[in-house]
Amino acid sequence: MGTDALRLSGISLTLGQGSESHQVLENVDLGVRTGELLVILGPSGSGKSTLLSVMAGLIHPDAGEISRPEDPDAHLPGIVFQEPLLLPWATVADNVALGLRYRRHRLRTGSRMRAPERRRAARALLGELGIGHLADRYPDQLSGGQAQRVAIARTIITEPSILLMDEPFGALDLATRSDLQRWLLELRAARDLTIVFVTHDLEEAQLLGDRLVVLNGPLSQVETVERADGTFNRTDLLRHLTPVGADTPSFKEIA
Amino acid sequence: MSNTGAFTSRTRLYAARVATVAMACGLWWLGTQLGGRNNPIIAQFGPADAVPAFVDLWVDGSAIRDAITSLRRLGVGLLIAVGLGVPLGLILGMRAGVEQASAPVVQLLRMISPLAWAPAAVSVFGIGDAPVTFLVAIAAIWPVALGTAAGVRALSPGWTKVARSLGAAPIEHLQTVVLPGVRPQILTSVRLALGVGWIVLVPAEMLGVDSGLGYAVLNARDRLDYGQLAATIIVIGSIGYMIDAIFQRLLSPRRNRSVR
Ligand SMILES: Nc1ncnc2c1ncn2[C@@H]1O[C@H](COP(=O)(O)OP(=O)(O)O)[C@@H](O)[C@H]1O
Ligand SMILES: [Mg+2]
Repeated sequence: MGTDALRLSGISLTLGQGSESHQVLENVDLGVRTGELLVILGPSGSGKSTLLSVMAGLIHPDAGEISRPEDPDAHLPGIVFQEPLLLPWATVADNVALGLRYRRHRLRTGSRMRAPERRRAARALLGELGIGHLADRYPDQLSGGQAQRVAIARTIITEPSILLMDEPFGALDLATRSDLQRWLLELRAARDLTIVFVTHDLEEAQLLGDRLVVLNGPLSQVETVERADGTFNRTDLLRHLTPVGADTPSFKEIA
Repeated sequence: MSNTGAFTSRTRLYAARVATVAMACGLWWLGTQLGGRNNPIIAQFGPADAVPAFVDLWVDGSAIRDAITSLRRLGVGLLIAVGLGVPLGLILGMRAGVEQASAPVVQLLRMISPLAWAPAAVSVFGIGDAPVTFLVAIAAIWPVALGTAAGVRALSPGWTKVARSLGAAPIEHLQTVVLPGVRPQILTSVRLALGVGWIVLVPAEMLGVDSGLGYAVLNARDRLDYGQLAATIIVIGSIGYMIDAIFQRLLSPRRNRSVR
């Protein structure tokens, strides 16, 4: 089923120093397939954010290897965080255009875009995503859901190889959340995205995922669950979500 | 409705201010009258002598000439302070290690009255504009550097995460996140530095220069012209008040419309 857009092998990572130090990831093996929407599910503190930061290249693991078989070096994943983190002094269009002026995008495309051109591209994308009317607003004039859509636009404008999302809808109310979930699925179909979506919400995981990875803290054993007949086996999922005993192997893949 | 409300409250504010100024002048007059009974110098210090002295200074152009000279020295000193203080503040704010390592030196230098440098400044820069400008710069650099550093530390670390994840080079992170993010704090600290610089400028001009408002103070004293002395003091305060008000007007909230 397709090739891997990203492959983690034997990733281990300890964060903090001295008595504060804490092994967050232990020997994690995981592949992200091109075109899939992979959900990473796990309780708070199980290392989901850390795992995404490793995938995004923001944190270097102590051991293990990250390979992106299909992509040149400058083509990296992009990440969306739980908070939109928009620059408050810039308009929505300028926020979205931000990544187009950065070195990575210049290197990947081999060209330097001028400011008006970047702004035009941002407006075009905002229009395509159905939020063109927000282009001239400032972040403090947006609702939570609008701000998060803008943050997603800011990440995908640079056409990242994979869209990493760290509990992107976790801070939104229920109605807004289901609205954005639907919007994300449309966006994914329209732009053929490969997505890694982190959540601690079982319903959200079942709704969005093609495949689930369950991260069971504290040593982040990874278990993968495939969608069978269009749904996930709920009992199976719940079993994976229960805390693991000492005799559980550190890596287990359920086909 | 709210417009007329704002109008009356503004009118009342101005009326109250005029009344306060009148009252201060009254106290000035009264104080110099009472004090002048057994001290003729104090008597000359009152508004009765100061106002004609001010008219003289204005008519012969020396008030304007001295003010322009002083403002030029202030401006150059501030430019130097901003040119050195902003980069210093950026480094201190972005590198916690540098800040901790340099703390003893920075805190010690900051606590030295700029005027303590005066003899050294004169012996290094000779006489003229240079030592005065140096003293203004050394007084103004600390508010600018420390204000900038505090502004950098107050930036959301999330913005830095975003810039890094989008692949910003360090200089691009500086241009798009740090500088626009600390711009308000830089402007506030420059305003502070402006006040400090103006206060230091006057005594600095009492050393080895023959122009400027500080020199005008000494000159009036040497000629025993106490009316002119009082007039000069009022000019110093008024100009300081004006430049601060102008600067405050310049930095009152306005959107920075683009990411540069
Ligand atoms: N800088 C750090 N130093 C020490 N421990 C950390 C650090 N960052 C995160 N951790 C710990 O690593 C674990 C995983 O954190 P995180 O990846 O944020 O989990 P999640 O996103 O699943 O809630 C948590 O137990 C957290 O306390
Ligand atoms: Mg997290």
